[in-house]
Amino acid sequence: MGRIGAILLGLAAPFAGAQTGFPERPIDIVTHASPGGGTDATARAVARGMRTALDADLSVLPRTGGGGVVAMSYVNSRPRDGYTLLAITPTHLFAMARGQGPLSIDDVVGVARAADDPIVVMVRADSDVASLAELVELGRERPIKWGTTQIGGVDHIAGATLADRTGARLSVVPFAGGGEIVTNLMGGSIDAAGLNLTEALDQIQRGDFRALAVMSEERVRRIGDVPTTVELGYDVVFSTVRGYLVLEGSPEDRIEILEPARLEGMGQPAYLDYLEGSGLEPGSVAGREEWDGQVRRLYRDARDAMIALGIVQAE
Amino acid sequence: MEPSGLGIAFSLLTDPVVLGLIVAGTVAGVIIGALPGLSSSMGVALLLPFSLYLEPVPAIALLSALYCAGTFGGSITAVLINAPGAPPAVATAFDGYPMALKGEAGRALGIAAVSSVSGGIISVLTLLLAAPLLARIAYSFGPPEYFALGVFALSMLASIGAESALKNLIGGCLGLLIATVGIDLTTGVERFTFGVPQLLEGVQFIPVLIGLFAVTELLNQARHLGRESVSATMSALRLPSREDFRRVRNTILRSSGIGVFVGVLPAEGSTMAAMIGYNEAKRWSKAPEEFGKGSIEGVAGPEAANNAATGGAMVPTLALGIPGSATAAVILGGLQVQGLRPGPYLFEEQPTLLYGIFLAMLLANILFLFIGLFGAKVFSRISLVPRTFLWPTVFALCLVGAYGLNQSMVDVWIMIVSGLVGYVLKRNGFGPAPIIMGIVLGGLIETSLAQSLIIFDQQWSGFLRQPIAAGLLLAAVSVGGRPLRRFLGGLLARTAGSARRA
Amino acid sequence: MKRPLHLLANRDSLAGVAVVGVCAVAWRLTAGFDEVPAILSQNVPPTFFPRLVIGTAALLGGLLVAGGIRRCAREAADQAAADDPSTPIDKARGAVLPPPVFWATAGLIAAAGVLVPLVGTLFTLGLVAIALPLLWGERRFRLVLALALGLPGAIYVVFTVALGVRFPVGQVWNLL
Repeated sequence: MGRIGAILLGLAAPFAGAQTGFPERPIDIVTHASPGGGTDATARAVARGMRTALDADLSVLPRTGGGGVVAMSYVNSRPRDGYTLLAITPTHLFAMARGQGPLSIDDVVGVARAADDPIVVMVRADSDVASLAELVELGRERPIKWGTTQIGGVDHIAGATLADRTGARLSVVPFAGGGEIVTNLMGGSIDAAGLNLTEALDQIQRGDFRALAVMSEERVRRIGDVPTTVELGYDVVFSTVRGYLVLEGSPEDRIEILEPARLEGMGQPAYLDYLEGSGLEPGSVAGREEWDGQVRRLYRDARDAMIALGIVQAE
Repeated sequence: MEPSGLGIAFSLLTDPVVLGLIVAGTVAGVIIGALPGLSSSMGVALLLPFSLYLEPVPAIALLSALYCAGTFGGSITAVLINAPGAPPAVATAFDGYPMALKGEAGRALGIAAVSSVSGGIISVLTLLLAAPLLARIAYSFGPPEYFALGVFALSMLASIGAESALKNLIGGCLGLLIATVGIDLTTGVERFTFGVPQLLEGVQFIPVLIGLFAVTELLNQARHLGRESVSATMSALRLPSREDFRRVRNTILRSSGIGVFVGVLPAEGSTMAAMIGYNEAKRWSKAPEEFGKGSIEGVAGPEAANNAATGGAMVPTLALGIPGSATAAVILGGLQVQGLRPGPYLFEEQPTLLYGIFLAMLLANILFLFIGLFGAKVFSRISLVPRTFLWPTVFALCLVGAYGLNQSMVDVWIMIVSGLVGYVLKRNGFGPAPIIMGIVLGGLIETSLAQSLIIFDQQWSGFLRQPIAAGLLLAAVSVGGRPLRRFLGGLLARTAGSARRA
Repeated sequence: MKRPLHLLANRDSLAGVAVVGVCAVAWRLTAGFDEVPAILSQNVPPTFFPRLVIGTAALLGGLLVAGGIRRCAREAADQAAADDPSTPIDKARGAVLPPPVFWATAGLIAAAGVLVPLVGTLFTLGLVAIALPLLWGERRFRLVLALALGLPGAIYVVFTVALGVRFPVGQVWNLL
């Protein structure tokens, strides 16, 4: 029975521990993606780093669905006390731009950026499509079955923008997370997907998937032979920027504890190894000032893209 | 793959600390699984921070031992108080609770324990031999196949329980409708939320499960207080006989196969597996009329299947990085925390760890045989508690279980309303199990249907061009369409009859 | 002739009518869902699946009504043949109202939901542990008292101390 006692103590410790100052209980990181995708993996890697930096427990809470709306609603239902962090991607900003969910851009404060994960257009290795031009050509003949993580999310808008500029047609198939898209692309249910580099690096390097283009201005080091959309003459640049927010109104002194802890957590070898292992640049970590500004810039870009596609009416 | 991996893994498990952890995980799992409202996924989540201080193999061994044992734990309350601790144990209550009412609680729990262990061991052995191969099955399952599988599992409702097939199917529809409450996963639109913010995330199935089963049974007890209860005899403690085990041997084998297969698919595997396992046990049984009245095959069928599915669920988790169940999702988190990257290449890169995990699960199952049989003896004593003390305790656990999940009063009200409404429904022949099945499978069915229709360009006929999906849908129609055919057949016979009379 | 109405008055048909009624209400609710642009719904609007399910349930409900009528008609015909009009059609199904203790138990369950936010979870559980056994005719008062104290205590130890679940304390205590 001693062992059970030890485990119960182990369970109790996080709740009974340090009674002074912030944080005195576990901090939740709320994500919108199911386990197995890039957002989930990043959140867990960051939580690992922060655990040491803050000397507190962090747990990752997936609240899947509705283009981040479920996650945002959940965060909105929690007290604004700094114990709940929202992991965001541009998908959340797209949802805000559509007026969905309880939060607007003025309700959030950026804490830190974790990673900048470009979108890579890919098909299965045995596909007839060998280049982005051929994919566009296919899309002019029949709708491309395009796998995305969320309807109205960044990978959907990326595909829709590409289609809009080239006259190709798209059938967007929504999945709960990057992991599911990988299986479905592998299984042949969909033609192509705009997956994040972190989600499909293994499959690209092993030759299961063929990367057609990176939706960025500059090539990515880990898959240096893959051209960018800009090089190929398509001005379609999208990237999944992952970072963390708290809600407006959270105590300032707690944000001031969280930000350096985040950064310290992300500066640890464990996190840098994670970035390296998943093919991301170490420079993708950024602090509150830079990140908060970027969030607002991304929001404006998201609005512009959606106005261009006719999803949102310009005011 | 190489035998040395197996050898290293084996030596890890002869470590007394690892063994101790597996025993602790098993005991904790049985208790957590048995308490309504505490599920094995919650238990695993609670242990996750603690497992960080361990090496990868012991950590995962601890989590997976808890996972295996938790699935069995859910059936303890299903048998004793008709309140399944978790959805995979719903089918166990069909025959387990009638057995307990007949004063055979120990026999039912003993069968459940042995079936669980057998299912678990068979699934782990299958994993050891064929995990990479099984992972391929998951690739051949796209949205149309998942939709068809979900519909197939729901069609099983037509043949469970003593009540009418039509009513079961209507109950399933009610469950599917409850599952649509909240924010629509694809469009982000609010549905049936009535302005209650807590409903945005949808109706949690645990409070509904607790209400429909436990509270409804509490009301049933209140209504029949005058009747003598037969369970309060010492025979309730008797474990199953050798003859009993011989009778359920084939059921266990069949259900284990079903469980492994369904568990491999990354979906709510255990619940579906248990339902299909129950149904197949009934279909192949020599005494199908005993089902629903306390058949030992009716306990063995779902129990072997749901535990086999726990092993199966580890396949997509490890081989694809896609969790095969809610609990496997948390274990996946644990693997990532340990710095591992589950995915198609894990089998080539880290065979030692994989074999460690499989052997830990195997060992957990073997230890669990003893803990389970001992537990059956201990827990069956609960059926000796006078009901004037048992049911207040059950209600307390219901309240705490519903509240503890999200610490929300809305969940408590969902539990209470489900109980009261569930009683009225049950009195009118609408049992609780179909509603739960509908809620559990609703998300999968809706999402995969929407995905399929987009892939098929809105053509329903697309399903017929996918052989696996078409086969499953055909099977579903042949099972679920039975009441419709019987109805039409009766109508024809009657028209013919009245024509003759005239 | 009151025959058609009479035939409808059986358990299955009435349940079927109720199912169809609930479906009608649910369908009306789906009409209130927000519209979404076509590019976002991909031609599968948020109303699609709920309406598919509601339609199916209504169809099954209709079958239930028809099945009940058919069985009733057959039983009526059998009775007519046996020339025994005195037997009630829906025999042995004549509703027996549940005993008062049933209603009291149902009321106690609902009351517990109201009490939790007022006097707190553990206190409510203590009250339930006294009220329910007494209601059900238990007269071993010492055991009842032991349960009323032991149950909340055990739950506090397992859930709050070991698992960290915090229960509502109750607003009434703040007023004191």
